[in-house]
Amino acid sequence: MKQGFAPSSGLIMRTATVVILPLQLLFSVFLLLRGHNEPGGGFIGGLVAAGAFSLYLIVFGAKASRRLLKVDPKDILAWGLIFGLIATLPALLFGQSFFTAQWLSLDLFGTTIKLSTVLVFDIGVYLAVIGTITTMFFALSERLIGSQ
Amino acid sequence: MLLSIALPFIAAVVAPLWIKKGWHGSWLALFPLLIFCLTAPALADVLRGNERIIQYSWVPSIGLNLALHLDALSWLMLSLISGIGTAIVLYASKYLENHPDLGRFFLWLFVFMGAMVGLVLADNILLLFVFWELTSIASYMLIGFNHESAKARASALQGLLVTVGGGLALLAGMIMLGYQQGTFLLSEMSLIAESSNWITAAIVLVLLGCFTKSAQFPFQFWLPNAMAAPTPVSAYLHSATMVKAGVFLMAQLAPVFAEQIVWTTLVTGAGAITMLLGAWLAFLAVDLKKILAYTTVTALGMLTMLIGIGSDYANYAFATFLIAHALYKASLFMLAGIIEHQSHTRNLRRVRPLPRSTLVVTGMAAWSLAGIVPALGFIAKELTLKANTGDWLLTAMVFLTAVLTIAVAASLVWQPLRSKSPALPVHGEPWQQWVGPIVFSTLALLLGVFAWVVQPLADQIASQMTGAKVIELSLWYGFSQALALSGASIVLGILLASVWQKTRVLATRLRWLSRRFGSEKLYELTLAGNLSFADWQTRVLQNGYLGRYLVLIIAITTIAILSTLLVQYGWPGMSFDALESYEVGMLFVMLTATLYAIASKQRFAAIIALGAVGFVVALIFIHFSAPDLGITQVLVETLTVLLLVLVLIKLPGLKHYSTRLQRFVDATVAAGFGFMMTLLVLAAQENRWAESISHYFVEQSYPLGQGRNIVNVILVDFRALDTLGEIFVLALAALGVYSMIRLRRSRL
Repeated sequence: MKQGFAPSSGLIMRTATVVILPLQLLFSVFLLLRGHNEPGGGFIGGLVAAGAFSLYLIVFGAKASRRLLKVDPKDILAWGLIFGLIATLPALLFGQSFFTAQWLSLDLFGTTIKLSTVLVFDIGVYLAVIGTITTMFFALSERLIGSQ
Repeated sequence: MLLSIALPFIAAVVAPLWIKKGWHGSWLALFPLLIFCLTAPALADVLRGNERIIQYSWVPSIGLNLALHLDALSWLMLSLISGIGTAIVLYASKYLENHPDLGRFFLWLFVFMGAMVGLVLADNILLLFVFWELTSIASYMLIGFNHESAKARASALQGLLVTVGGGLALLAGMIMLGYQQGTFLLSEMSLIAESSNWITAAIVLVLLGCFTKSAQFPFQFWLPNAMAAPTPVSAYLHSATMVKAGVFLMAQLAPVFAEQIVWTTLVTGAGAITMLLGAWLAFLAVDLKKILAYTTVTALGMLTMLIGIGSDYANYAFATFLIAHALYKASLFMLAGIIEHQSHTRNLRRVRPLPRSTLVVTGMAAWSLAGIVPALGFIAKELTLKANTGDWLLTAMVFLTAVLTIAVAASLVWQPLRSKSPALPVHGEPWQQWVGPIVFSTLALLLGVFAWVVQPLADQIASQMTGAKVIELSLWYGFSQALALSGASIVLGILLASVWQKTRVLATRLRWLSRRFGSEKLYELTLAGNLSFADWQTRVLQNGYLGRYLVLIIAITTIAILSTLLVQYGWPGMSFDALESYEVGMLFVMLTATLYAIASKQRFAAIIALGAVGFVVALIFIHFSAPDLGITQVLVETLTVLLLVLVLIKLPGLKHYSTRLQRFVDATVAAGFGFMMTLLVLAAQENRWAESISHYFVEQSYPLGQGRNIVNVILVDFRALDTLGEIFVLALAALGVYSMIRLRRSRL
């Protein structure tokens, strides 16, 4: 078997990945939250987070990545869909048509925080994207390279 | 009225739980009984000619409202559905007492009941269609109730395909009719005086639906096959209620179409042929349930013919026969179940001597079937013969039908009497099974004597159809041609019955004829043709090679769009005035990378070159101030390259597997697609037929969507439903990849 993509043993890669991963995840959440006003959003945030996990996967292998992720990628996918569906419902309570966005402004510690079903939906997209990509990557790498 | 529709559906939910608890199913009969009690008081109102109409808004945008109405005909149907339903539920609770799936049985029986109630009450024809299809589905589940029998499954499928296929035609016809009338409400429709192709088409389509549902020629074949269902189902769906749906609808539409020649010809003709054919086949059959099924076909044909004739006599005959038939046929079917139980066979040739009680009740029901004085059926026959006076062909057909039906009815009683095989020990059937047959066959007999009970209802139904004149229902209309024919048919019928046993040889000889040339053969051929066509096109179009799929999809898209573009629009112009030098640079990089990807002999190099193309595209997005798209493009491109690398790492080096010709075809298709896209983009640039909607998004993004990032506001607010769909597609794709890889693994 060609050696190919066995977990890289390169010291620089290993060290860098460990340092970069939290930053990437933090950045992805940042992108998710600011997305409504600045470039970003659930889709882009999800891609960044998924990229982070993919990097970890390539460097440390599927087994270690599963340990890191703690939950099954398919569960993340499912939660993404659930959040997406939850966001559709509140409008029905107010007699508006399905999926109408609901906004709630909270004044907290001097700043205004806007909460909305749109945000819930964006979180759903974020999780669905992460779930999709990690599901595919994990399955592929476990099948093709064997789960080291 | 809404409660009447809701009750069966509630029962459908309750029934399985009830049975699971181990409580007796007989109690469930209270549901239909309650509907019957709710329906009965409305009679006074209905007889005065007051239609009750209720409207609830449902899907107003397509004119689908929950509009219900109750007129004389629907009142009659409703009482038959609930009254016979009560008896059937009682009967079934004993007949299938220890069946492990009794809960499921009642579930579908009640779903059917609800659909049927909805069907007869619906005023809006689209609503009627919804219930119409629901009855087909419930019927499918009930015919296929013994789902372990291949025959039951095939019969269920046949019934479903025929009725639902007709249902589609009906929907088209209904919509056409609705547009012609300007209303979808039955109660607001009026007689169409003029004729046009539009109306003819609507009539033909509506009739296709009605004929398939009510088993009219040439669609009569599914009904006898539907006898694979448990006996209570046959008694309820395939004699008294569901098959009447088509007849019911034709009767409701008769006032609208009465002056159309297409309507009268088709309805009268198909009805008359069905009537005679059914009687003939009933005479040939030996299976008790088949015999009853064919007599049902006869009855449906007769009802249809009467609608087609549409004279005063015909309308009265229709109303009385509808009542008479539902009563005696339901009881005959229930009796068939009892006889089968007592005699261990449904074959009329081998039937054993029956206990006296069974014989008496069978005799009463068969008396009504034969339509001899004093049964209600006699009045109906008398009126039918009067309605046909002057038309010798129809008269002859009715006469022959009567002879054959009487022969069948007589053999039903005669065969067990003549039987020489030893009687089996009698185990009494429980009262639940006797209630229905006794009550209904008595009613069918007595209502002839007390015809005044039926009179006001028949008056109302006749006037609601096309009637003008009041005709008194009576057993005695004086000496006439009709009476003479009626008498002659009795004599001939009984003579024929006496040689019933001898005609069986002939019957078996004739059977190949229908098997060879019958319309069922046509159904089978159509089905087989359909399957082999599907098989062929799957083999050709979906042969499992990804390359073939891609080439086909892209080639067809290219041809379709390119031809439309060139025909509708012509060649778009081109100008390079606004092109900046760095834009040329970007294009150059992209082009080089593409060419490299094509020419490369190494997979990795090709993938990375493709990645380069993607990054330049991202650059273009950013250049035209779409940062979100740019970022997404970069990320997606990165992940795609990673994914491809993961997959391709296992593959051997590039070799030339494809022939020269294949590569030539691939190259042509690819180049053609690129050419088409270029032209399309150019044409789109030149032409704007409608105002761009981007202004709206730019303006409304903050006020409506509370966000300044327009792309994101579109994704998660304005077009959120699309996005929801997309994340579901993503999830499906991921699960597809996952299961494909996992399944492969287990096979290795």
